[in-house]
Amino acid sequence: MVSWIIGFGLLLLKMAVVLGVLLFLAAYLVWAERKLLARFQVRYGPNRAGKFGLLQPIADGIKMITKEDLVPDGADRFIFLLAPAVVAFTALLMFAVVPFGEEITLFGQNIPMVISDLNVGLLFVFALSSLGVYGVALGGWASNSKYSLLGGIRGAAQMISYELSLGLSLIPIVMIAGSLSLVDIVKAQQNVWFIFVQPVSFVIFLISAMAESKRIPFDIPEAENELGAGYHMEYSGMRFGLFFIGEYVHLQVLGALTAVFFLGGWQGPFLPAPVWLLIKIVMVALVMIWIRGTLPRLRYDQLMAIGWKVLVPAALINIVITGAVILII
Amino acid sequence: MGSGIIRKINKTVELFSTPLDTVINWARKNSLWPMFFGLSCCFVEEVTAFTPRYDIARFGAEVLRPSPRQADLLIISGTVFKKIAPVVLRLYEQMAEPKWVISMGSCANTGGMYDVYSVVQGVNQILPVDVYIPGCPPRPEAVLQGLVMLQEKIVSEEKPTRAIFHMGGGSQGTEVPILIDGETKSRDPRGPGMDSTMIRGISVTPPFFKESRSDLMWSPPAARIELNQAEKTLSQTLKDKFGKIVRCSEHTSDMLTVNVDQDNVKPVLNFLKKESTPKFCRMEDLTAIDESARRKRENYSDYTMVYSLLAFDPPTRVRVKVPLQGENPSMQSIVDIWPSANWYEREVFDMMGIRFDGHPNLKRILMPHHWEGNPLRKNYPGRATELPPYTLNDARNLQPLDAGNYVSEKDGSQNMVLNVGPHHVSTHGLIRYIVSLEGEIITDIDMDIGYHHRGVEKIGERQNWNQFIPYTDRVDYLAGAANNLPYVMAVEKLAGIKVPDRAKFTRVLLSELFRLSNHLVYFSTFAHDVGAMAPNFYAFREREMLLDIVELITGGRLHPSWFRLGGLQADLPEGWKEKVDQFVKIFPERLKEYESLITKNPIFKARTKGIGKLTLNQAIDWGVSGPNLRACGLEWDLRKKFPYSGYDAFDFEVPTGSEGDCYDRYLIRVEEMRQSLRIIDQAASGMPPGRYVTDDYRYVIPKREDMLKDIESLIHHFINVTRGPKIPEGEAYASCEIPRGEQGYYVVSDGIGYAYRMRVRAPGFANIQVMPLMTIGWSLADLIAIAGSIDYILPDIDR
Repeated sequence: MVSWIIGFGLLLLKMAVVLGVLLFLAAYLVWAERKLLARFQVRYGPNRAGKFGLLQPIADGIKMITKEDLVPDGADRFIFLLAPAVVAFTALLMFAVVPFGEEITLFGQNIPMVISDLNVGLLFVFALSSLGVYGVALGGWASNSKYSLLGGIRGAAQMISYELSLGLSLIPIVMIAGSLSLVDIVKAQQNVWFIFVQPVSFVIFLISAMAESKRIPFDIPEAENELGAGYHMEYSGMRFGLFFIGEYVHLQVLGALTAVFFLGGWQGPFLPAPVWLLIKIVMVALVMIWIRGTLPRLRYDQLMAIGWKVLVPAALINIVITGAVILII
Repeated sequence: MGSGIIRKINKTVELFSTPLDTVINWARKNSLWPMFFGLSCCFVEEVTAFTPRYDIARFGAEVLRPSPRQADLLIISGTVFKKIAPVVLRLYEQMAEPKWVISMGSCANTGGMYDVYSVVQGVNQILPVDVYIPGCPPRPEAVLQGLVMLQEKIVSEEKPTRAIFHMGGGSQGTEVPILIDGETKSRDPRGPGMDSTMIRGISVTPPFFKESRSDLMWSPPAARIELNQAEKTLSQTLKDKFGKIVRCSEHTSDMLTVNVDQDNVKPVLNFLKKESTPKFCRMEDLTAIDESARRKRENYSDYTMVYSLLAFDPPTRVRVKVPLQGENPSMQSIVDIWPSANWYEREVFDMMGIRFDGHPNLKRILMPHHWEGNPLRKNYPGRATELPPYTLNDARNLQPLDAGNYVSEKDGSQNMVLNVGPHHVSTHGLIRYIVSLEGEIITDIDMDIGYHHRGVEKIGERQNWNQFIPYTDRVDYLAGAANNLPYVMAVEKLAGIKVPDRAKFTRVLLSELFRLSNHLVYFSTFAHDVGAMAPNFYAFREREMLLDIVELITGGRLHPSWFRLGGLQADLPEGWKEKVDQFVKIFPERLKEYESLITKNPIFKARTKGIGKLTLNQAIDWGVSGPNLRACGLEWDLRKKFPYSGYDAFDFEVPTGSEGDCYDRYLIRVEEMRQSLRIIDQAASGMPPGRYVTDDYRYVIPKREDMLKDIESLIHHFINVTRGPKIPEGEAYASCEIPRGEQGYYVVSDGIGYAYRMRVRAPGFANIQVMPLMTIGWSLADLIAIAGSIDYILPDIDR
């Protein structure tokens, strides 16, 4: 009974810490993005709100919370209000299976450094990622605006397509690790990171991940130049903020997944495990920001063509080759 | 009891409201996200405030939101037109509370220099305004200043807590009342305080200007040119073929001019296009003149239609004039000869009230559909202050026509009809594409223009010849001084004013600086249209260097208004050459860098290669000009074909494309930047010494030193500045290769200090009319890329 209570308490603690870190990081990724983009573009970026603009995310947050929450006439009110939460919620939930360290023993208790080590962790991630599509598609549809609708449709098509290549790119990893559990996958990389074993998988995964997170060159659902703000055109205040947070949490999730599947997860010398994971997440996120600052945007049908005609076949061939190699060895 | 609790809650809120106010106000002032919204010239300076030198991001305000829902701040940057005002109001109303408004620039503040029928005299008549930024346009620093002033206002005046908790009281956002024209704000175009002083030049152009003393002055007749061999042959051919129907003008200042009767115009035009040598493939311009206010009324018909035609080989121009009689005359449409005549005839119908039989779609084009009257008629008032005030109710009620009126819906089709514009992030100004979409593929498209109609042609009839120069700058607001050139050249042609070499070279220098600066903006916005964000910032960095040079020379940035009849406003200042040389040295490296970022980028290529093709025949038929024409493969550049302002002294190449797609249009601009740089270098190194303005002071503003020294110059100065030079009766057309294509001014003088008719032949008008040929069958995303690649600008389309 006591151990159960302690276990529950620890779980809550872990969740609180993870949630706190995630949200904090999401806010400061926005800050980092604005600062970095500014530097890429020979500017300074925010520097009036606090030293180096460090209070900028807080100012933005307070402003959005105190802003009017508009629901347009003719919108499907219930779905309209729900959609942003779906996006943020699914992105946050994915972190439940991301391991951030080896099991540690504290007060005689074995504490796994993961909120929940599901044996189908990978599937769980994909399930949630698919659910996240609903936020985009329904948000776009419920707004009763043509631009939102176009954004929503684009989002749905894009995310479903890229889920496929995302999933297929990871099958070789699962084959090598022999498990769907994220903890096992990390442990399988003790000797060599999978990025060196499966470079093709890594490339496919990273491209698909960028498409999943709807960022340039794949920011087609909200392509500013074509659709204005795309699927979140009609959202104001903190609901728009939730989409924003969702996007940046998603960025971290993808960073974390990249780390777990290809970069050896929490493993690394000298520093404690969670710090390593954090470093890897941030590195991936920074690369994505860098790419955003550099590339133009693809067209909708070109994006689909790349997904279906290049990435999916490449991933399938990669699976066959991996299978063959495993058989031979 | 109940009231006791409420009192307690109120007390608690009171207790915390001051610190809460402070925190919320601090957050809001540091997070003012402007809407991605611009109306005209000012918007260019507004976005410049986002670029490296100014960097509005420092204040946390760089997050441009394309959706009004997510924006906190509406910067009304530019002219508020009556046609767009309902849209501005709607966008404002779509914003979530709290919201703030900054009115940027003279036009948004008061109507500025555009006291003309199509412009609202200040946005404060329809919206509450927190901060006004003066200037025309204000510099980017002024935008920053405006933002800081708004921040101070938020911190010092607003008490948002009570408003946020719905407790009544408190204050947030914009709360000043809107003004009512004629009641709470002055209707006097000169501002308040001029109560009993009459406005000069009021009452629209009656047959005689009452106070004009121009008649007492003598001036020589209009300049006369000798026709060249090709023109003489053509004139003979026409006489032989058509006999008396065609009468060639004896006296012409610019090109072969033939007069044709109304009934015979079509065969003549048909002959000129298809059979004559040379063949006049392009209909350069089509316009009309209302002759009812002529001073020698008996010599003129009621209206005159004017067709300007252009042949490519050898380069020849001809003007066909058709006198029309009656109050509401009509004539044959020539859409079947030149498809491009479609919009031109609609414009004449809209502005002059002349009907065209056989026109497929004769309706208003520039003015809103509910407009009454034809503004370019002489009996139509020119000033907004002479028309009834524009009110909030007007902005509520006079909405643009529904999209369904534009694109055809085939029976049972389930296509989505989408409005792209009149206000949209990537329409590059106020233009409205109405597209019918099947999925994302465009099956039909129509355009609604006129949202940026500033009535320049009407203004040209009331400002004197010198006063009009600043208006030309604003016709193509990214081409600055390059705009002045065709206008001053037209007047110089008409009056036979000789321009000294130094002035010619300096004009070339300035024009090319602006071509370069315009193409830099093109480069960055086009890259932005296909999703690349960084090029904007790099290109604007070099553009600032260019504008520094322009500022050093002219004192202005966007709108220097620096060319004058007969020369320039002033001589080149000390130190100009070092600056130019420095730029010439730096720029090639930078350009290489940009190219490596964009030109060979596979995504960029995928987005532009093969997209939006236009064939050469289409381009010629529709009167496309400039880089867009050259992208189709025709080596045609006025700087080479009709060398003007000493361009024949320069060594440069004219790049051409072959595909006529977006990528070619892009490549040509990049190459033109290199060529412009060559010209700039040559102009700087070979700048001849001498006068900057002609010494024949009859029509020009004399040098100041001379004006102070001798009485002759003083008199010329006095007359040419106040009343305007008396330009001889006649007409002339001059056209220049400005960055966006061929811009021409057709000036008609009745022998007084003002133009009788001021016609602007705008490249954008023709270039944009071909959009359906390029876009149908492509996707919505391509529409944006194609529009970006064409490089149009709205005041030039709508004028």
